Amino acid sequence: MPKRKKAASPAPSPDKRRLLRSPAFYKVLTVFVLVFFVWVVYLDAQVRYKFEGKRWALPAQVYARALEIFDGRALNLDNLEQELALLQYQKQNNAERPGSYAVRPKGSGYQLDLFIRAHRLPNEVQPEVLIRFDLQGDVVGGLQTLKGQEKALYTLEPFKMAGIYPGQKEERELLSYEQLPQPLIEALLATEDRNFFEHGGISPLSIARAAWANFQAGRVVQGGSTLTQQLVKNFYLSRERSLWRKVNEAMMSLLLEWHYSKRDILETYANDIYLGQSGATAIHGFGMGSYFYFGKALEHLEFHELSLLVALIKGPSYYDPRRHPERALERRNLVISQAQDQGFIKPYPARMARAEAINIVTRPRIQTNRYPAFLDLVKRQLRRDYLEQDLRSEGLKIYTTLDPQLQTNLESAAARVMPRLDARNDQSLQMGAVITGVGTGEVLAILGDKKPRYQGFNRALDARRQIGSLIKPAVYLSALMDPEKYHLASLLNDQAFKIRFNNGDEWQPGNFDGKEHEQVSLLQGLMHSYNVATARLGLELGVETVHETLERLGVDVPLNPYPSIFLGAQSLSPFEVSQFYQTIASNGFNVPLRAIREVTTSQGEMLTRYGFEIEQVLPSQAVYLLQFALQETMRAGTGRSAYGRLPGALRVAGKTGTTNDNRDSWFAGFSGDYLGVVWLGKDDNESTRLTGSSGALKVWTEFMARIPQYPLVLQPRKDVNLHWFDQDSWSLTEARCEGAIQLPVWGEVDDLPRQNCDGRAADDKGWFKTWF
Amino acid sequence: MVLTFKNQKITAFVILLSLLGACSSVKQRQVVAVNSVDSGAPATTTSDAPLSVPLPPVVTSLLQQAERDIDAGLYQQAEKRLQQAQRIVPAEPRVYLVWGHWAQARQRPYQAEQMYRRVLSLSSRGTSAHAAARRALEAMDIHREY
Repeated sequence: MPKRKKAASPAPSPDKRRLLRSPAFYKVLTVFVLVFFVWVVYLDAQVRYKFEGKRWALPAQVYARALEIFDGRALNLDNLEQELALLQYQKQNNAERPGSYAVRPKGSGYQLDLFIRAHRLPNEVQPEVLIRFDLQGDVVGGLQTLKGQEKALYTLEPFKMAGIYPGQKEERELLSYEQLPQPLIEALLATEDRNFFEHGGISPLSIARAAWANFQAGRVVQGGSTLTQQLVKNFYLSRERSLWRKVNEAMMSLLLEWHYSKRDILETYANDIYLGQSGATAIHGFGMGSYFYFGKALEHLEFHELSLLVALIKGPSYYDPRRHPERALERRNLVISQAQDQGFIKPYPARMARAEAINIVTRPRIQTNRYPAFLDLVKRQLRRDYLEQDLRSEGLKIYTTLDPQLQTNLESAAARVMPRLDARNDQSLQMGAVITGVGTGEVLAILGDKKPRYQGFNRALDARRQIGSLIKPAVYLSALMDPEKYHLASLLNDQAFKIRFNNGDEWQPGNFDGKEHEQVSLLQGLMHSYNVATARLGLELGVETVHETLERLGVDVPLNPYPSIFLGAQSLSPFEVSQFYQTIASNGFNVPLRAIREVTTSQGEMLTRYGFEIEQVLPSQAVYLLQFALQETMRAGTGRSAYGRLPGALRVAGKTGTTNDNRDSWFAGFSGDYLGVVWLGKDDNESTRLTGSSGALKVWTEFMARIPQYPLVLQPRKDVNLHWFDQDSWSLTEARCEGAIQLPVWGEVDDLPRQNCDGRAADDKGWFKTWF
Repeated sequence: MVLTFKNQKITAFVILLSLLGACSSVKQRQVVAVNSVDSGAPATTTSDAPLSVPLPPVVTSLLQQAERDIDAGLYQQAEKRLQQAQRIVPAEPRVYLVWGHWAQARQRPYQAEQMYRRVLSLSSRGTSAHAAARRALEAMDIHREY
């Protein structure tokens, strides 16, 4: 059969011919091409600028210290369970999965199985491990490894306590393409873009399929956007719905695909996708979504959990598994079915995955700022080494010294004691408190307000108030550093006196009890906080000497140049007092307080390690004598009420402080492990009607009673020996004498007066012997 | 005087001895548990026996690892282990003894001196840690003592 001759194309109409010959047409066309070219170049620049630059402003992530578990560790079950709850560990009958634990009674204590999740710390990777240990008398014992690598010390993942955010609060955990689990990619592609690896950015086939599905359903049931288009929409464009935005989206998708690989695009999509909201903070990316919904890293999710994350893409609010679990379940099962339809998962495992309940953590693990006072300190210390902009955008990981167990107990102690005290003060009483590690200088807990979540004025760092008798240890230490002249049994005059200054002002210190005590020992002067005796001692020593001691103790503020400083007319913040007392607790070594251990990049590379440094600034013998006196203060002096609550085995040392008209109530004290400084007062500086003993000491005691810890053990010093003294005359005497007390003395005692048990001087031979 | 490498090895040996020599101790550090029943003030304030106390095995292990890290030049790792050990037993002189060794290896003689001084402040005469710290200070030509 002869082929039919192809019909000749019709000749252009006269109008068209005219148009094609018209110079105006070419001008318009040129302009159009030019505009198109400029538009494409503009979009291209936009696409490349953001994709090749820093894609997201990543907030710095701030972590608490990681809990370490080892044989011999002091650990209380209540405290441990509080911390495990923070870390989203689930209590179960058997600890079968990472992130779970089980508790059984054993003897007078407990046995615990704890399945620690895999996690990363600076320079360290901890694989998941199941351990078993006993808690008897608040001590870990019998530690054994049931599953995983055997070690002597196990570290839990640190609690992420806060982020340092840019203006817009977004949380994301960046992952590389290699870190994306293959089942996640498969579920994602099956649900959102089946032809992802075939199309060039837009998929006409998908658009047609979606249009047909929508037409059949009579409503929008399917989108035609590719993953690339979704990424462009979220990453570059506004939420505006217009044809022009759609055109931009299509062109940018083509450009993105032209410039970058599919892996790059998928990786960016996986880190950018919006998956939920935690208060004011948006959760982006599968990495953070995994922590937000499941409390564990993406790599540890099972297929049904990965499918839920994919299910959320369509509408994180509508399918929120916490608020709408049925919707979430239905959508998740649809994702699983689509993965099965595409051949990514076999029917049986798909059926098993669909049968799984939605098992998400009850409370999101995202904490924006749980401990504002501590974070404030961390930021101040970071600003010495890092730019504010970097803290808000580089995704730095900040590993701090915060101990969540101690912080929680400090908050509980305040919550328990403050209402009672506040009732006497029209609810206007305020507080600041700082807990540090003795000898380590690590800041472990802080309260800047009686309401722990309050983000305003941080009294622990910024409330500089007169410290009253808290300063007295510096006065007595100044004396004890001169062993030729002073020892704990040295006598001080406690009779009232008056000083008249050149300008006509007078100073007449008086004791708190309003009495004079004639002569008291140095030990008594400090134990009972006698103002007159202390003022006289200070005047003997001189203001300059006491200043020098304070400076050595780490007080780094302008000092009051008048004798009133001997009684605490010197303003310091609780944090500054902590530094001062840390030197005393550390045997005369200055240990700078620090709140940060390490800073790493977002990828875990070490940037800064804040090491431990010390300097001996005071003779340890003198500090030993002071520690002894401060222990006596707690045993039988102004701090003795603490032992109404504390066990006698917990030896502690401390000092109360009260200022004029009871404006400030202070206490500073330490055990073998912890130093706590507490201040109570009012912001308007009015009277609190509290002394150091009836106010701050109560909070301190309540805190210390909740923490298992080691007592303060005084180590005998070179050249310090114990001697017996009579408690009336404070002369040397014998152990067998009634009322004799044993005191440590630095140096020789040959020149000290001695007396016999009958009260006569040892060199007094008596009238009978003298007569003969 | 800066210690030579040979001296450092000797110091390490002394430290190891002091770690092992802790077995003769009679006193164990006791945690005071929450809700202990013996409330009330202690009868007296006393100086406690300063005898060498057996280190918790985890601390012994950390110190030995730190020593190995120092010898291998892994100073960051060694420092991390020392900080871990310090947090467990902040008043343990043997921790600071190894830390002094670490500071010497890092050519930080002033920090080394301070660490050895800390050992002296936390231990009493007659203990191996005390003796090792004294020897280390003498080797550094430091004789002044607070």
